[in-house]
Parts: sequence; structure tokens; C-alpha cells
Amino acid sequence: MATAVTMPRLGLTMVEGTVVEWKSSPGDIVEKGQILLVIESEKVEVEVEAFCGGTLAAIYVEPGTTVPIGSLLGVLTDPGESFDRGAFERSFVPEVEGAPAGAGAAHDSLPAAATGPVRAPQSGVKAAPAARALAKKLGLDLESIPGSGPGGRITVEDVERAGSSEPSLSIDAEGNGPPLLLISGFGVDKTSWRRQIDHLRQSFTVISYDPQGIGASRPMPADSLTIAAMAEEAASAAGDRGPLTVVGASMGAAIALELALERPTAVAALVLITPPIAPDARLEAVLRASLEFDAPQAEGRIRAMLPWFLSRGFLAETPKREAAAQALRAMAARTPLATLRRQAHAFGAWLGTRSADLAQLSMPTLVIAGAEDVLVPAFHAEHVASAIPGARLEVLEGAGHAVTIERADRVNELVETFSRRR
Amino acid sequence: MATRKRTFVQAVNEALDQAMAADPTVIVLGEDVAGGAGQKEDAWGGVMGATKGLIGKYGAGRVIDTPISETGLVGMAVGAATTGLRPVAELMFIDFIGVCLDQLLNQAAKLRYMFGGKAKVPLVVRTMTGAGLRAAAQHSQSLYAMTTAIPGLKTVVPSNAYDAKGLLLSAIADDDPVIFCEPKSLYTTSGDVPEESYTVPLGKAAIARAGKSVTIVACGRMVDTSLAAAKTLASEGIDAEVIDLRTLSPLDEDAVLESLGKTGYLVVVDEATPRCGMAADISALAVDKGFDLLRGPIRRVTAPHCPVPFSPVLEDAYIPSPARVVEAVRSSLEG
Repeated sequence: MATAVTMPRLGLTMVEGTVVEWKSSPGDIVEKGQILLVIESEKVEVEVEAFCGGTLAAIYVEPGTTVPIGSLLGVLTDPGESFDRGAFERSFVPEVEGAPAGAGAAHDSLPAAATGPVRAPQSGVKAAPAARALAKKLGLDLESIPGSGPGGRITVEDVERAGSSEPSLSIDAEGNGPPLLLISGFGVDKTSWRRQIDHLRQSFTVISYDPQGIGASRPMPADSLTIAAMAEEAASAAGDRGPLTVVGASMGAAIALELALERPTAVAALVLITPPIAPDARLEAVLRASLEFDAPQAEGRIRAMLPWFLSRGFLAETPKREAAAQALRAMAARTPLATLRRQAHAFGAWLGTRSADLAQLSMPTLVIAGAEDVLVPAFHAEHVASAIPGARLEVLEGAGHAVTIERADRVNELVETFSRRR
Repeated sequence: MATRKRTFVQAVNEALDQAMAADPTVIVLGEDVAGGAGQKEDAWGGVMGATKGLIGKYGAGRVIDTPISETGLVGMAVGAATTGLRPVAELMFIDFIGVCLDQLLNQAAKLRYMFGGKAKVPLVVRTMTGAGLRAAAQHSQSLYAMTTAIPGLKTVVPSNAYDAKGLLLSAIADDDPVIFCEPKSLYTTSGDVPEESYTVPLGKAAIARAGKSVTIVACGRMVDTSLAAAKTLASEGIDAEVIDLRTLSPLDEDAVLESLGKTGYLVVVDEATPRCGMAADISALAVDKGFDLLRGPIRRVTAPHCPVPFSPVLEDAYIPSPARVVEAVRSSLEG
């Protein structure tokens, strides 16, 4: 074992000493108790003994140099031990604060600036210690695992679910009647449909699900995500319940469109709420900005997103706004950043790819938009409604992007009347 | 021999009696341990009767009433121990430790070390701890964390009559100084106690209740409190494991960590104050050596950081209750 020889403290007042002479040379074998070097402090010369036997492997401070107490002067190694002079000097931790290693300790040299990477604090992922340990053992990336614990904390159960081969979607089916499938938007889980589910369950079997990577569903697989893949996922959530009324909001409307185009026989009717269709620089900029936070539930992110989702009138009503903020916060806590990134990428890549195909659709279609929607402005909905043969357009005056929240009753009524008319 | 019901204080008395009968070097000393000068058969035997009957059996040479000076009697016991006796000194209330702390901290705890192992101090200091008897702030403290913090002292906190007898016999047989904390609120509680002499080893915790949902660690009186909480929790489907530490020093770390490995959740219950206490110590153990076992936050249930109140209402509120333990367990599980 390499043992440091350091400038000893000879008295309570001693702060530095000078190396006068080394009695051995590098490579010499020394015995315990043998005089190794002579130092001088306060006009007194003192012999320093080797306090263990071994090979004097290196000398860091040459005679004539004055260094603080505790400074690394030389090093003794076991016979035959391999020794890296530079590595030992770098790893040397002085017992006296501020005593640098080796010749760097000399008075005439400036203290070296702190170099090397500063360890950054851990990312915003919250996980129980046992969950962290299990994820490491299973080789799973915590960032991709949705946390179902308080405040979005990843629990052992979440990691177990991520590591298991059990069915991956968390699906709810409530109520009785023909099947109605709800598809949520960007970074949003099935809880966002609460007010629709509570109403529509009276006349439908309402199916809602958490997309992969959100809430209680399995984490997102590592491969890239597309809107087409999300449409397949939506179809699998519905199972084989027969032709569906498909209701999608925002990015969920894009998924619904994709589903209707790819599997026209599976979709009996289509409700597109604030559907985006064309590339939109503002929408993409907001999506990108929403990823620039340490954690999806970061308060700054929640506050910055609210004005994009809600109308002026709704924002002005404090209790309503705060309830929406709380719901968004809770949902965000269940959605890892990795999921948001993949969704945003898939969404951005999809915009503009289906504008020309809308004329192929022949199922009854209802399009709902918010007149005050600044995130996906109503012109998107107008384009969709005019391109789909026979589609009906409802623009809700004064409503923002989150029409299912701001105008829950009106949306429920529209969906119900639309279905009854068919 | 038979096992019968004995109260906690009877179990302590029985351990003293059997130790004195078996070993002539065992002596008992303290304030009123004989029952006042000259008294024999009908002697009081300590304020709570823990030493009752000993003066009649073993005489005034081995059951020594001392003046009211903890400084003197504990110092005398430390000296007697170094000369080869096995003194059991009674420090009536642990609250009085201040005036004899040097004898314990700098003498009893250090002599074996300072003399390179050539001296030993086979001393037991029996002392009453804890609140609940309306004895006010100077006669109600649970100061065992203080003695636990001193290397060289062992600290024992029994939770029931069986352990009280077995642990006291172990403490008397031990060659190191032992602070033997008797929760006074347990004195009148009874349990099965074998008639014969037996020992419960120091440094070995007991699983007071086996379970798999959460680990509750406690000592002394708080074991019963934790068991009561576990009963309520069981009705909610929460299967708590209750670990009775029995001795705080030495500490059975393995018992805590093994249980934590099974449950993943930890609640520590302590009648003492929260700062630098047993609950903080066990929490630190879990984080230092069992971090990867934790599935949720550790919760501590302790007295508040204030003196034990004299008002009965406040004193009852001061002492951790089963309801608070139940709340802490729920809070740990819910995160």
C-alpha cells in the first residue's frame, strides 16, 4: 500500500516547514524508523523517520522548498508494488486543510484552480430508494418509468411493472351502451376525461386509457414513437368491441384521424376536438418549450402552459384556473420527460402528413374547436371540417384549447346529440 | 420450574434476589434500597419495592442504604466494581444522572479503556425512566439516548417483565457498566416470568410482532404502544412488524435491517425527545446501511422537543400514542 510522507507538525504554532535534505533516493528500500529526511522549522532542524518500511517510490518536494504542514513530501510503497506518481498525487487528500500535494505546495506557486467536472445534482426523477435500486438491477432507465406514487414518485411496483411482460396499458371501461373510445392529447392521461366519462357513461361503454409511458401504463419502449403507433395503441385499448365512436382531443384528435384513416371499418363515428392538422410553428415552439424543464410537474412549466390551454375568461376565474393547474400538475407528475419528448417528436413529425387524405373519410364526423384557442387555433378545425365530407363544425365562442374542461357540459351535449342523430 | 405471572417490578426484584443468591460479589446500593436504617423484615425496599426483601436475606453488608447523594453512591459503585464486586446501584430516577454523570461518563465508561483492559467495571445502574406517572419534568425523562451516545456504557431498556428479569441477570453478569432503564409506567404490568434464573442476551432485539407491510421499531414502553397500533393497522390490512430493540447499546442493527428488507417501510417510535435521539439514530441506520431497501419515507413518532408537562392532559398528549403511530405508518406507506 502506498503511504504518504507529509510535512509533520512539530509544535502547535508550526504552520510550514522546509525540506533540508532527503536521506534516501527514489527506489531505495527503507526500514521502519530509518531517517528519511531532514526538515527545518522555526530555525530547528528535525530528522523525520520512516514510520513504515518499504520503497521510497517518489519525492514530491525537493530540498530548499518550504511547504505548509500536511503537504505531500514523498511516498513509501510495499516492495514490488506498482506505483503511479501522478495518480497518487492527484488522489492525495491532505489532512490539513489547504495543504496541496507535492511541489504545488511551494510558496512561490499559485494554488491550482479547481478543475474537473462538478457533479451535477440528480435529475428531477423522484424514486423510492428501493425502486432506484431495483431499476438499476433490472437495467431500466428511471427517466422512462412513470411514477404512480405521491407527487409522481416512482415506486417499487412501478419498476416491477416496467420490468414485467404483463399487458402494458392501463384501460378503464365504464358504463353501458355502444363503445366510445377517448384518446387524450399530448402528455395527458385518462384522468383528463373525468367529466366526459361521468356523463357519457349513461349512454356509452366509455373506454379510456393511459398511453404508454404515462400514469399506470408501462413505460415507453426505447424505439421511436409515431402517431401511427399511437393509433394502433388506441385500437388495442378498445379491443374487439366492434365499431367505435372515437373521440380525440388535440394530439388525441390527430391519433383519432390516423386511426380512422388506417382502420376505417373500426371507426363508426369520429369526434375531433381542437384537431391540429397542418404544421404550425407556434404549436411546435410551445411543445419544445414545455420540454425545457427539469421535471414535467415543475411549477414554472405548469404556469407557463396554462395560458396556452385556457381562455382569458377561464384564466380570470381563480378557483377554476387553480383547479385546472392542480389537475395539470397531477397529470404531469405521472408523465416522465422521456415520454413527453417522444410524444412531441412524433406529433411534430405527423403534422402536415394527412391534410390531403381527409377526403377519404366517410364516417359521420363532428369537429369541435375553441374560438379563443391560441395553441391549436380554430383554422385547423375549419380545415379538417371542410376536408372531411359531411363533417359538422362547432366553434365554441370564448373557449380556449381545453374545451373539454372549459365547456365540459357543452362538449358532452354535442357528443351525445351527434351520436343520437346518427 | 414453573412459569407464572409476575409484574415488571417483581421480575426485577426476582433477578436481584437470584443474582445475589448465586454470586456473593453482587451487592445492591442506593437511596432507600434497604428501607431506611435498621429496618429488616418489613423494609420498604426502594421507592417502588424493587429491592424489597433483600435486606432480610442478604444483610446490610450487601444491601446498602446510602445518603441522598447520587454523586457519592454511583462513585462508590464504580469504585466497588473496579475492586471486583458486581454492584447494582439504584439511581432512583434517570433525571438525577446529572450529578453523577462524571462517575459514569469519565470513570465507569473509560476505565477499561484507559487501563488497557487491565481494569473492568462490572457495574449495573438501575434507574427509572419515562413519563406517565404525573411526576413532572424532573422525574419523567427518557434519557437513554444520552447514555447510548457514550462508548463504554451499555444501555438496556426492557419492555416487559420477562425481558426485565432476563436482561437484568445478563447485565449483572456483564463485565462492562450497564445503564438499566426501567420504564416506571410498566412496573405494574405483568407477564409470564419463569421462576428459575435465565438470561436474555444484551444486543439482541426481539420481534414483538411479525409482519410484512411495515417495520415499527421501538423500545421500552413504546413496544406496547406499537403493538396496539399494529392491531388497529391489521384491521386495515396493514401487517406491521414490531421490533423491540431491548438494548440500545449494543444495538441489534441486523434485526432492524432484516425487517426493513422484508417490509421496505420504517416507522420508529420513541418516548424520548426527537433531537439526536433513538428514533433519529435508527433512521440514520436505515439510510446508511439500508438505503436501497426503503420503499417510502421513514417516519418518526417521538415526544416533542420540550420538557415533560405536569398537566395530566398535556402529559398524555406528550407521550406518543397508538393513534400517532397508526398515522405515521399510513403516512409512510402513502409516501
